[in-house]
Amino acid sequence: MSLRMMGFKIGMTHIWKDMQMIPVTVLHIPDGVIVDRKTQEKHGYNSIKVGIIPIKEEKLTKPVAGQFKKIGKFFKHIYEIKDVDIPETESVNIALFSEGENVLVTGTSRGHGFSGVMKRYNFSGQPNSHGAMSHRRTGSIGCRLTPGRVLKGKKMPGRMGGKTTTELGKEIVQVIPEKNLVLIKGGVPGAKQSMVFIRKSERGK
Amino acid sequence: MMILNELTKDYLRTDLPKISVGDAVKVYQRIVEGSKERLQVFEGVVIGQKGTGIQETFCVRKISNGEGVEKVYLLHSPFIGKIEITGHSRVRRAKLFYLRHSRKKMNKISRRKSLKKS
Repeated sequence: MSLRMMGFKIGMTHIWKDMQMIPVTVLHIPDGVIVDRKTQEKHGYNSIKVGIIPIKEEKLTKPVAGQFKKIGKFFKHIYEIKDVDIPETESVNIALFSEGENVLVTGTSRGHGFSGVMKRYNFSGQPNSHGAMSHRRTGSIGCRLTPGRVLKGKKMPGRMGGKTTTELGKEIVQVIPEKNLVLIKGGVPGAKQSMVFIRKSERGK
Repeated sequence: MMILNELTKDYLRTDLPKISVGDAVKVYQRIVEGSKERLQVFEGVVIGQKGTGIQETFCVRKISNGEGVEKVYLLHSPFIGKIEITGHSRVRRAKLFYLRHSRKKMNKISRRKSLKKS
């Protein structure tokens, strides 16, 4: 896995560049303090554990706080970056990403609750008038004796959203390390303030 | 929201006059055709404003060849060359949509030249 960092979605706005309006999503990516390092010899893989947002020890449960005992600093969130050569520093910063880079953004999509097929799968629905007695219903879900069952994977109403979603090919428009902000072109899954991961693309630009 | 405002602060236009609903304005829009650039004038009445910060827009209505035309501009867009305020009417609405139904009122407001506000 390539370099990834955890942060939070702030919201959308637009900026102007060369007389072109660029819609951007602003992400807040806090500086991460390296809490622990895992090595090939001891753990079977190389990784670093990163903590973000300092917090008091009393706020954490004992098992969680135990992870931070070694360095004596406590954090609200902790995540792992696997198989990446991070130099012998104590922290990671958004400056590791650069402008124009192609990234993947992972977040939890907005929950829509139990939704019908029109909202969930863009079905057309039925007429609103001319004597129609159903409007937004699923309609027929199969045939008769052959095959005599409903085919697997039939699109039906159900829970929509609230799932981990990754969007590929997102372009970094601007990185502001002193404010821990990164501007990504276009939208990003999830609601404002929700947790997101940005990851360097392995496919290159 | 505060962070977003801070970020877009540099993109805000400070050279334009403050317009308000009821103003008669001339909007000079920059039009780029190939390598040439010219200013196109759209003269009418501001019938509404919407949004804040970099996303603020305003709507200008005019009667063009007997037909009502409305244009919505992004206030902070670099495509706006300049804005001239030619007159101002005191209005009691935030949105002057009633001008769509009354040519008489439209003419009255767009011709008024009183520049009461500073």
